[in-house]
Amino acid sequence: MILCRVLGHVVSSRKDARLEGAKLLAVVEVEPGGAERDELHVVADTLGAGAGDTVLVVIGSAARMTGPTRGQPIDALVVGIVDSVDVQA
Amino acid sequence: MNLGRVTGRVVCGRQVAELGAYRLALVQPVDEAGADEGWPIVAADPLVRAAAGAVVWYVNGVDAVDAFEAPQPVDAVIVGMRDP
Repeated sequence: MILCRVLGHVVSSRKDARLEGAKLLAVVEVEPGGAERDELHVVADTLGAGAGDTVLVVIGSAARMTGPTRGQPIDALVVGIVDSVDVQA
Repeated sequence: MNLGRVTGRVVCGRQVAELGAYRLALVQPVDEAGADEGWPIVAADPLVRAAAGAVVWYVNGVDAVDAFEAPQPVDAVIVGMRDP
């Protein structure tokens, strides 16, 4: 998984029918210390993350391994809203 | 499989139910000499409970899903710890 920060919502009126009702977010990858990297993603979200939140994003087919996302044509999903990143070594 | 060094932990306040209660480890990929290689990732650690500084093997991508009895929304999982 990768750490990302939520930039905002992505709105799409014309999309695959299986994405009806899905919430899509624009996120940017961040380093553990919080600095942004130059890597943007559009990810699905079922947790209600908002702009500024640090989130844990799963990439690839694993994104479809939850109840709400099974069978959806997605390859990136927010699986956690991050409380803390504890760098020890 | 890939070699990495555990550098810390990530704690999520809210998470998808299927993620379970796995520890989430910050892992810095390293080469065989132990030098950093690329960007850190976050891996589930359901087995070895690796402490910071430990060198671990992890699998990523679709292979990580197979490390669990039932499919999990996980794309990186620690499967072993290298003996010190």
